[in-house]
Amino acid sequence: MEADVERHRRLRELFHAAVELTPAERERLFAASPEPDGDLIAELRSLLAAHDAADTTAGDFVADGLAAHQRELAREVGDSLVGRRLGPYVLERLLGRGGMGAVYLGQRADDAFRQQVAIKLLRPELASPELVRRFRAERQTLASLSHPNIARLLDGGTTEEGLPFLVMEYVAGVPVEEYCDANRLDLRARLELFGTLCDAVEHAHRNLIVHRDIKPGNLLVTAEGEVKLLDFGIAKLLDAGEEGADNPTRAHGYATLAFASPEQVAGGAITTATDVYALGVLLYRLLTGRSPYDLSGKPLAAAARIICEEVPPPPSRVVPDASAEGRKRARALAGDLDQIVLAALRKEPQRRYGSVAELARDVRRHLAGLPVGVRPDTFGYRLAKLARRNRAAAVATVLALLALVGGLVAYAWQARVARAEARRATVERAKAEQVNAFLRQALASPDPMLGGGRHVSVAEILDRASVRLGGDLAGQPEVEASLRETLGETYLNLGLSREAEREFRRALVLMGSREDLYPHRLANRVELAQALSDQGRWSEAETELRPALALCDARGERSLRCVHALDLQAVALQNLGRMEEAVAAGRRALALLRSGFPRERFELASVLNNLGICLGNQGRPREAEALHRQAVAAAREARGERHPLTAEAVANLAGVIDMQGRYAEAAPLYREALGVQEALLGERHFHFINTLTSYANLLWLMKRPGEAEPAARRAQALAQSALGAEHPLTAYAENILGGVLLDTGKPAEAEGHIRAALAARRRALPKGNWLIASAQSNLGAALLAQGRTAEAERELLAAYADLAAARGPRHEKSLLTAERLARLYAAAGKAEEARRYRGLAGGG
Amino acid sequence: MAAVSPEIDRLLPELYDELRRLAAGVLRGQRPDHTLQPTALVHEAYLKLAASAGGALAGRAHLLATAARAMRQILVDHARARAREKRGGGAVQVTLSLAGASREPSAFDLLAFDEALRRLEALDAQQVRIVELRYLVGLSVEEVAEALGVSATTVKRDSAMAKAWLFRELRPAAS
Repeated sequence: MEADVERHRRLRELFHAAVELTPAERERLFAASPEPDGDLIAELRSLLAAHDAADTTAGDFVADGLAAHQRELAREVGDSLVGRRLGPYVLERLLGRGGMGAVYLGQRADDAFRQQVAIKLLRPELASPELVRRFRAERQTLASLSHPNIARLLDGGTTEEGLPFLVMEYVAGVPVEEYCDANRLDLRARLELFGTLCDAVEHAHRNLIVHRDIKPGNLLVTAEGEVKLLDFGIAKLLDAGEEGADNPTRAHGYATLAFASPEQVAGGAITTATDVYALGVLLYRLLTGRSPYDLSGKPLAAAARIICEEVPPPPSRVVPDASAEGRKRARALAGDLDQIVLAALRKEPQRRYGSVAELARDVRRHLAGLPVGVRPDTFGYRLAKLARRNRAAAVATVLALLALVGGLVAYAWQARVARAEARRATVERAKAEQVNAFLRQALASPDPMLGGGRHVSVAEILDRASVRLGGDLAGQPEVEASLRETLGETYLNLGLSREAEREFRRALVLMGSREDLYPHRLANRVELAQALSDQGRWSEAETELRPALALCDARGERSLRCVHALDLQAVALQNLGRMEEAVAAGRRALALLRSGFPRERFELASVLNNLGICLGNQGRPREAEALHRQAVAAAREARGERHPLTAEAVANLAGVIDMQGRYAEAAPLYREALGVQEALLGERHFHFINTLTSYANLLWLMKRPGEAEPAARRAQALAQSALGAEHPLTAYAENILGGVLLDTGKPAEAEGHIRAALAARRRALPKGNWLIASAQSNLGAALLAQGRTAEAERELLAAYADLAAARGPRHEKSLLTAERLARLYAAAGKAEEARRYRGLAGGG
Repeated sequence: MAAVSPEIDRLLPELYDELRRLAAGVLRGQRPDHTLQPTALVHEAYLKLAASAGGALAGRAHLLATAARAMRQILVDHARARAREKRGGGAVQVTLSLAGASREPSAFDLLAFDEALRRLEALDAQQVRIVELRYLVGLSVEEVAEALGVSATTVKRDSAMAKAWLFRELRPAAS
């Protein structure tokens, strides 16, 4: 030992001397060394070689190795809940852990015979309110499943931290394939076992629950030979939460891919046919001992292509037939069993067995020696192959989109495929939710509503995607519609409402009037109404909302989508001047929201804000102000200070204060909103232009023309270029700029802008509308300032008549117009008329 | 590992709990940075302990060594538990469609590493201290030099040699 220590010490001296030298210098050092021990030099060489290897090939192997363990440990201790009590259950041991959460073995503490249970807990950081709500809703569905071959959902609840958990029947067993092999089950026994499994799956299907993750690991056989299906519906539940997952590198093994159907791989609708397919894969493996496709080691894109396009060889062809045993097995499989398996594995869901029951019936008929019902695949199959090509094209589209955004290919493929809208009443129609999720994720960063700033190039990416979709997804209307919906939402959030409108309209056409697509039709209609509202096309928006609200009413639906529809309707109606109806719609939205979704602060902010606007415009500014203050508070709570929604709420609070003449109080609020909107939304965004226009108006009202003019000029220029001449906001901005220019002594220039506003309003609004009259009054003032008295008189008189009729003689615009007429007549020496209008203007 | 000081025996459960609490805090999103730096956790735990222990723990170097030992012990316990789990003790039969098992595949055999460190300890305790401080507590070369009262060059070279030595020891087992 002493000698070893001494040897290590000499080795250390030499190592220290040599480690920083070049190879040549080291050689000279070794040659010159007086060290008599040749072995020591040899060991030094080996150590230096190890040093070089440890540094170059392995990186810092100690740091990396320890870090991996530390991370793992931290994760484990971080959410290990062993020993904890959840309701009547005590967590005894961690059984396993996945990307979504952990499973513990639990024990009912108050149970006489100590029943063991499996308790599934969601990872805390994934527990979004949305997911927790889904968890609760799905629990009800799952709890209704009662079948001897399905592991029961026993209970569920919420931990102190508000995390949902599920308590499942604990099954001590082995995966079905392992069981068959270990017990050397013959063909008949395997088929009988398979039939039992089918019965269990069929039971769930009758309860409208699709498993979507059938694989041997979820099919256990107990020591008593009893087969149990695990995790029914859990896959969907957890998939739904994946949008909240922040770990894009989550490993997703090929094990599941081996059982994935073409529609899961390509992002199609997940239905009971998906389970039929997975059962087909299972049967294939039980009969042959191998998978229908060899996916091992294949890149995911290649594996996906195989799953979508390759026809698997019939089971009888793949069993090794060298032995007598093998030949016997091949003969047994040829014919019925080949056809049964291949029918379950067909690419097109609608061409598979119509139900698991039919599959089971054929298996049992075969066992009983009866003819099976499946038809061999002939002509129709070849025709259908064309359709399958389209599916590959869909995959290609996704890949192309991925490549456009870059670096996210791995993520999209890892994203789990089945992301169906949970609808108990209909078997699900998922429609490329995977692709959508990807798009949302990939495009989330430039979406200002999700935080972060704006990148113009994203609009280009979206435009290219939009063009591409039409070509690549021809023949797959559901997928295309779903993608267009996502594109539309993203455009909308970028403030590109015309493009958004285009996408929503196309999606609606693609969906037609299909009843099963009801949730998407509703969503698209509401979003379309939003896009139209953003363009100020209120009447069209209102028209689109009517069928949407009828859908809500007909179904007695109390969803956020319906809240949104009511909210939009309130805005559209108030802009159409239908104030009472607007307030009624707003109050309905608020009531629905408060009763059904008390925690939705974001929606609450929006509804309060819009109802506030309705009341403000109805001449109830004090009530309105109270609502706007609540809206600002809710927005801050939901999204924080620097968020477009909060900024909008603040801008509207400023508006209602402004309306009550408290200008000095309103000004800083406008400026606050403008700062946030410009930074987050960009200057070409509707909200920014809107606030800027209001602010310019405020400065004008405050008689600060020097400040008002640049603000009004900027607002007008932005409105013209970003929103177009027909937008109501553009007309407003033109009108305000005209007013400001009048005050800064530029009546000729003012006239041009006012005429622009007037022309736009005449095109958009019904004759006699007070906004037309207001612009007309301004035009009169501009003409008057240029000494064109006759023209001015004509415009002002017409304006006054309309204003007095529409808004009453005491309205500020009526008073202003009367005042202008009084000045006109005074200048023209018509004292009597001057006096009359002076009186109408309320002045002396 | 060389003789474990009584302080470590006393502190280990506390440090462990502290580590667990901190990690849980990160995972529940209570920590704003949302990153999980184990060495940072150890630092934090250690600072807390140092504050609470007052005069009971003397000297920064000693404190750091204690923290490093504690971390090493925790990792070894964890790896042992893992190894037991893998060997059976109740086959895991509840598969998780929870999906995508996120266990990190650790090619790095921590138990073998610990064994190798013990062997190195017998030859050169100082090199083991350096490895522990650098890799288990996360100190820089300069900080290690200061803690041990030697030059940075010495730390760097000893660290390189220890690593090479360990690498060579673990290599056959790994390949």
